[in-house]
Amino acid sequence: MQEIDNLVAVLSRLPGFGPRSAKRIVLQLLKKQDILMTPLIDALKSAKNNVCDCEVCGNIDTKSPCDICNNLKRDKTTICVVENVADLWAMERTGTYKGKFHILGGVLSPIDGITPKHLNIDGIVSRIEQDGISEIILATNLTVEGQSTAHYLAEVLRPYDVKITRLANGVPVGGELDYLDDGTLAVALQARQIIE
Amino acid sequence: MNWKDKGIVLRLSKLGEYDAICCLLSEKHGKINGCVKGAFSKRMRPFLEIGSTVQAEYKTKSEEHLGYFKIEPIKNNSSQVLNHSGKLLAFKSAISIVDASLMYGQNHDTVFSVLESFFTTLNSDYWASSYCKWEISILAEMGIALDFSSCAGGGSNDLCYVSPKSGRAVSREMGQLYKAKLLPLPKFLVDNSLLENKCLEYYEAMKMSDFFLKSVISDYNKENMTEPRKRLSDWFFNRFDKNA
Repeated sequence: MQEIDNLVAVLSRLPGFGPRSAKRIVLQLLKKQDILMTPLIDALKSAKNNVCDCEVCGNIDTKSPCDICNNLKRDKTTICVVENVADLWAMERTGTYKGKFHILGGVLSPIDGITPKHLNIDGIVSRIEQDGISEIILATNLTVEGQSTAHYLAEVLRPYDVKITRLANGVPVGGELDYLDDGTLAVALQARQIIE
Repeated sequence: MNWKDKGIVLRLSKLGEYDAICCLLSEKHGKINGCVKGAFSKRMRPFLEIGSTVQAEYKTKSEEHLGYFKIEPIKNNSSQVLNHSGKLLAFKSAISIVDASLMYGQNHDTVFSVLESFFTTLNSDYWASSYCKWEISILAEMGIALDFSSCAGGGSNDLCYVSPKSGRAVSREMGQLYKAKLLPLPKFLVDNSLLENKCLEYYEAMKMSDFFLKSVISDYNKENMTEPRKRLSDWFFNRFDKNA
């Protein structure tokens, strides 16, 4: 059946789904149209019509500037630079960061053709110039590409009167040394701290 | 064509959500592409990184088809350089040069061992001079053996230029007339010394080897190869006369 095949084909393109799991979902949707399919259609339509990118930080929200940018209780002098929206959500889950965000939209990766002009770097510079930012936290991933991007950003932002910091790295909370990989242990050793 | 070998990861391209096409420089089988199942999974992500040394088991049904790698970690070489911008650029630059210069399926055990030993020098204070010397050794492996032992024109031992035609050193007096056409030769490459914080000399060494790399690497002008190297060259230039 063309309609079902189309639906399976579209769903199987989503992350985490293959053709078999997509078929199971389609069957469930068809079986429970009132409680699953109709609300799903409404939710998708609503998201399609209302969700947009924040013109300030690049976050996704129903309005621009987003809730985080509009929140007056947040520290507007600190910006945490993250790679994508999923990383922003991860930082928000901690509940400890009360500053604002900036989403780069990726990391530098010459192999994939991603160069500085493809990232939202100009946006950070203009925010520093206009908003009186005092600290930039570079929260890119601890990978070769993530750290290359962080070092590049640090070079670009160095001329500005702003403190540039980055996330600490090392042993995770609850981590046992015996089970840690060599790379994490090596980084943890380099970033060791004095016990006060 | 199934084998087990030690290798260095040169490139990882995402395939679907968790898998990757991995370009590996193996010790005995040269540069080869293969699929790694679960390369971006939580288990493999910490060690399967560009530049990591791994134990690879390669399986394929025929030479024409892309094979599969089963990979076990040996050493994550990138972890020691992530916190230092210059070392990280040198690390990336070395990998991109090796990736761009080698053909698939040819044995390059010398390149493998030279690259592996270069990674160990990144922990030292002499990483920058080691990088410049590593570029010279890679050029030699590609057929351009630069000779800094004596002056090509029979001049004195005050060697400070390199002839772009012969790749041989030229003394100050002999090169005086042609210095606009000659390439700079930093002193540390002549006396084989290890230097700390001499960014101008590193910059000049990279400028010199740049000329020869361009002549031997067909896709030198592709952005993926030149970008990390260019940024490293700029990094040295910006720190000229400053502490690294």
